[in-house]
Amino acid sequence: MSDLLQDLRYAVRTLARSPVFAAAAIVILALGVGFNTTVFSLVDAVVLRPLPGVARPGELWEIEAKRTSSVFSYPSYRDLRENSLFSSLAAYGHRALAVSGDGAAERVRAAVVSGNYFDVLGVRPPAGRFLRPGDEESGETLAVLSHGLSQRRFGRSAEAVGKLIVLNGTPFTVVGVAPPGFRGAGFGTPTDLWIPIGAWPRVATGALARLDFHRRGWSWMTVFGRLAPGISRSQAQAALDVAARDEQRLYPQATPDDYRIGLRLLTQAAAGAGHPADPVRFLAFLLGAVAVSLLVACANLANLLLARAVARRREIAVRQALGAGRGRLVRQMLTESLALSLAGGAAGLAVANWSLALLSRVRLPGDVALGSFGAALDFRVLAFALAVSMATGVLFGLLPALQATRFALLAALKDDGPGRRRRALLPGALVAAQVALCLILLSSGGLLARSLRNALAADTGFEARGVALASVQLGVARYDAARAWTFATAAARAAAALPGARSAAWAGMLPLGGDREVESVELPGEAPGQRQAVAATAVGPAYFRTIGLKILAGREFEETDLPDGAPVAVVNEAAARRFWPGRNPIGQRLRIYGAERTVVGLCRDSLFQTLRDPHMPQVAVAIQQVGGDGLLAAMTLLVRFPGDAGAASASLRSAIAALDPNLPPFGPRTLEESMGGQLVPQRFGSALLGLFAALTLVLAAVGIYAVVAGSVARRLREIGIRLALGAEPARLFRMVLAQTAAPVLAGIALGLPLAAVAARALGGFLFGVAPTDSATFGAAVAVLALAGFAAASFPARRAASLDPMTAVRHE
Amino acid sequence: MIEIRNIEKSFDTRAGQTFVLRRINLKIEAGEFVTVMGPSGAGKSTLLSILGMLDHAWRGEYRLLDHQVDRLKPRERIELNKRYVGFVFQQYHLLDNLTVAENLDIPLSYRNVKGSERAAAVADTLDRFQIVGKKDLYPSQLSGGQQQLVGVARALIAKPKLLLADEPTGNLHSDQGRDIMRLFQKLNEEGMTIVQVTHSEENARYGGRIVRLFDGWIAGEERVTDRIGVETANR
Repeated sequence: MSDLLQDLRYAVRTLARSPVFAAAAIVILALGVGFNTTVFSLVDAVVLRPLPGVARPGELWEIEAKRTSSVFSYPSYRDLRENSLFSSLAAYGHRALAVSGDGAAERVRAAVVSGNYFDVLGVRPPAGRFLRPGDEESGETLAVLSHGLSQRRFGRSAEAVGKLIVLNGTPFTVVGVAPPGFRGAGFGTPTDLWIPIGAWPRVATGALARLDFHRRGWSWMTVFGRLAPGISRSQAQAALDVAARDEQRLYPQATPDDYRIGLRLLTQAAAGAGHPADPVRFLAFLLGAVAVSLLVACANLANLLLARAVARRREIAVRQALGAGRGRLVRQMLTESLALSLAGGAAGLAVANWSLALLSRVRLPGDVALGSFGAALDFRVLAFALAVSMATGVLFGLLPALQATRFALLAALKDDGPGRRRRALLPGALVAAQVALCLILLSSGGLLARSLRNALAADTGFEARGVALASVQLGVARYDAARAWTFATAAARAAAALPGARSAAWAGMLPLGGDREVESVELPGEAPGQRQAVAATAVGPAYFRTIGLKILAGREFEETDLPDGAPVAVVNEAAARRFWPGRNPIGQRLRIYGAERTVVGLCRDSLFQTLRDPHMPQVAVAIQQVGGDGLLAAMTLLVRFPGDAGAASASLRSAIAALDPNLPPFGPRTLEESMGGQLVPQRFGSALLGLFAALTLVLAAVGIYAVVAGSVARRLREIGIRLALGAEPARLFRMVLAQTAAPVLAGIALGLPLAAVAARALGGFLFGVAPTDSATFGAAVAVLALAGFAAASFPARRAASLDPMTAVRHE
Repeated sequence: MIEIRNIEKSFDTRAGQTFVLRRINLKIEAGEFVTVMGPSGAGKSTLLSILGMLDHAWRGEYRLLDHQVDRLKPRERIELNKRYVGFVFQQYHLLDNLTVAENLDIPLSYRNVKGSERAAAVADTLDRFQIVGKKDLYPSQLSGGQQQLVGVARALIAKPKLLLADEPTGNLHSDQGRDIMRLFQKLNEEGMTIVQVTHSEENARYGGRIVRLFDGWIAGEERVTDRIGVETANR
């Protein structure tokens, strides 16, 4: 122990004598360890950590239905609950509800739950009580609020118990409040309130109101629970296999083919699998980028330490002459690198804290905030940071330590000047490794940046700029179809009359907003049952001119297309080509959304669902003519403003609130913001990879500089002799520069195939550019080569401008 | 104490084999003070390195006390070196980042001596060499003579039986050099076996025997008749 302390004392003293090197190393390590710690905290929160705020989270299992997107019907859940396999089993389904009454109306995320939901999770209420098994089907309008919602609506949690809260127009009694930090058993955005299954019909609206939750064919609930004592996972799986077969046998109409049930530990990652914002894929991407950056940092530091080791060879030789074994010397040098890496790791926690706060604001597709996963710098993450710091210290310190203790002792003691020096391959190999890794990040970042540029420049077919948005859900505010049409018409007129507004229109789905709706179309005269798939949307009067989508023939929907009037449709060019090639589509008829409709307009082809749409056939129907559900489901009012649409969004929401204060507007503020979700991978990826590519480029350049500078310092005497013998400075410049060429070229040769593999992994995120785009790769190679040349030119210039006599006398 | 027979060291070059030492035969008794002299390139320092077991690339027979060194593996030779040998370098080779006390402590640390024993040994050595007041100074804060004094103290702290000194006064001015040589003589009087390499005839007179090397061969040996010793101390 005293030897270790001695080594540590010496390590700190040695580093203190080289403050510039120590500071640079600590900064490099802080960034590398810090970013890795940040990503690990996200991985821990989403993938590794069980649900927060619940009892014995390691014993909670999610039951998966393999053929129905992991959800079950209520009757299927009850059957499973009867199975002796489980000591307890609960179920929930998420729904959006409108909360009104005291305070501003708002849209909240609710969970419709079984009576034992909170018991299974093992949570205790700080105020009031939780739902009980007896509440499950009683039909009583009871609610449990989250801590946050109780504070927003009632000021204090205890104040909420016993009060009434209006959900979708129906008063509910608050029976209890969840503990602070409790997010529910779901994924992503935390749950705001919980109501029993039996109360669901009191708040269900639109098509959902017509569904009976006792129906076996309606799968909507996520099921989770705890296994009975003594039941192992494999036993449980075997029993579930039997249960699946039984259900299929007893209810073949309501059960898909090849129906299977599985189970997995309940984590946020498990809950989010298959979600558009599936975090695991996103985190894998992040982890790859930061891990590569840390490797580059390690290679860079290893090179710097190698250079320092050469300068310390006499000291090391003296220690060996005094009796130090190689192991002891390696341990001492490793202590120095560990001291550096631990200092860097400590500084890295500050980097992690900052970058975690930054990342928390990122929203994944599906409007899931990265910050909602609850990632934090807790004990586990700190332990990870410590482990990474130590591993990094060993990684970048070991090779130089081994290399430094290999040289000839006597020669080092004599500090011999002339004589043939053995050519060191390790520094060049480390430079090559850095160049290769940097090339991966540069090329991947370049591909994503080009994708982003292509996507932003893509001709969508409409004008996204200058469109303010406000979304409402009339169904949750207990509107009927007639009232909904009256409101929609009034709101559109009020919006179009706002100062600066040009036009306003409603839409059931926003173009490139991340939603998909594929419907079947039947054409008159075709064989019954012969259907064609189209991209379908329901829009209101003036929609096409509001978003700047050109009508090529006929007209768009008007207020005179009444809900009970003749059903109409507008088709795009691709639909016209598909269904009526060579003919005028105006006046043609087609059957969609349960009614035969007349085509009154032909619009230009446009991108609707994703940026990759190959202009698929699109059919738009009048939103007021979709059987009432169109106006009662969530829909968005679009208003064209020539100026700042974001600022105009506030006045738009005020106009809606003036018509109905109990109707909370929600959603993105502008059409560009709504479309931005499509490009999150490209935006985020190119920004992130660009940042790390720049970082590793600087590190690689520093590494090249250090290697060349070290080489020049060692060859000073030789260079002096050459100069004294008449060598041209330019020739010496080229001689020094040439030694950089080999490792840089080797790194590029090694990095190109690796970069190609990484690019293929990006495939789904690329837009308008091939994974092996030669221009992007060529540019990355050129940037690296230039950086290497620039880094090497400084010491090369120094060598060429040396005074020969000073250099010759150098020892 | 030391007996070497037919020691040879050579390098292979394009021109053939180049010998640094050829058929060296030498006996050194315990308590002797032997000086190795010769022109540059004679092989003096190489011979010292072989005796100190810092150099393993040689042929011949070498017995140190009861150990047949030529039959030992390099790792075993290093252990022997730690047990019996102290080395004094021309350039002192103190560790710049360590204080005087820490420089003295290092050899004991490498011999796995316990911390409390090391502290005691360092204190004793500082006292013995009258450098207590300098224990917290760094080598850069000492004169050349003081640095070499510390170098000698460091070589002796592990209580070796054999002290090897390679041009110990080569970087010192004459007064400092005399101080070091008187110290060596005192140590020899106390029983230390010393082998030094030097160019200085004056320094050679502090010892009892001179071995002269020339082109890798032992050119001759002679007893020192006009030894600087007691009469110098009484002057």
